[in-house]
Amino acid sequence: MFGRKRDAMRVADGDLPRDVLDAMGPADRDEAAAFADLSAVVRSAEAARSQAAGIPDFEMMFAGVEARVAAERREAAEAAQTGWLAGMVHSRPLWVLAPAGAMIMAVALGWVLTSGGEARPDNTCFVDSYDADKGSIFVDQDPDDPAQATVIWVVDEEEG
Amino acid sequence: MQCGRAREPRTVLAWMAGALIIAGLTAPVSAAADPKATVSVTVILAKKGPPHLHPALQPMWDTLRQTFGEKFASYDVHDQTSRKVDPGTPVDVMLPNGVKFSATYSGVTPDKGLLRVNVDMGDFQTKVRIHDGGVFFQAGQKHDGGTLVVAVRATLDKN
Repeated sequence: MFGRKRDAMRVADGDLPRDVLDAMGPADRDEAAAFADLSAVVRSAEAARSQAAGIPDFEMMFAGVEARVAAERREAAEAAQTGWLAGMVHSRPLWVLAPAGAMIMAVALGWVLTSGGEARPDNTCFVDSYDADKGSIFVDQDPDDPAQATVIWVVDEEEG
Repeated sequence: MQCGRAREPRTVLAWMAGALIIAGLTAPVSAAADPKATVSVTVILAKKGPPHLHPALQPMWDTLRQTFGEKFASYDVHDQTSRKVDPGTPVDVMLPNGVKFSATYSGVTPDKGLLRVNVDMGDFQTKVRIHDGGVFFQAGQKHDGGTLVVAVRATLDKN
């Protein structure tokens, strides 16, 4: 009994073909029709309740989600074709990327060292000899600071 | 045995030829003349008082500040001479007190590539070695309420 009733419900829901009803009696067909009417009433009532509550229609929402997923998949495929850097990064193995990265770093370092403003000269001065007939001579230098230049002072004692 | 004797003169000749080739290749390098250098002599009148920096001294400002500190505040240029010279050729300037200042580039040291510079100023002489592009000062003579500071820079000619 429950088997026939369940089949009638499945026919009403569309899970079974309507040919199944032909093998049933008139009572079962009436019952299936009643289930179909009830299902329609329930769906209609549920749709009205959802619309009143501001809940979007599930069928429409699912169609929108499917469209969005397809669009994103298409955009990703296009980006992989047009983005050379992304494509290179994703397709090249490490043994290609590592030397390329090292080369880029070396070029950048060389550029910084060679073009980064005026290089500070080394003003280290080695005073090998000095001589004067009069006055005082003293050498002022800081061996620890090559940027500071050496000053060879020649001071006339009379001037102080 | 005979073959060994026959080859011996050839081997000696080959060694001699090799030695001559090596000597020919290295001799011009070792006997090459020292390169030219650009010697710049700048005569500066340094004073205390209101801060002043001659525009020509802008590139040298960091060196002046680090070298003389608070000793002077005003730097004016009296004379500036720069010449590309061979070793032994002096670069002369006349100081405002009438004394001739002469800086002579005398070549490059073979070991470290330092530039030899001799300075003659009246009865004062000194010999120094500096790095390529380096600068040193001679200072101390009084003039016009200030002190004469002579900057000497030597830079090797790269051409």
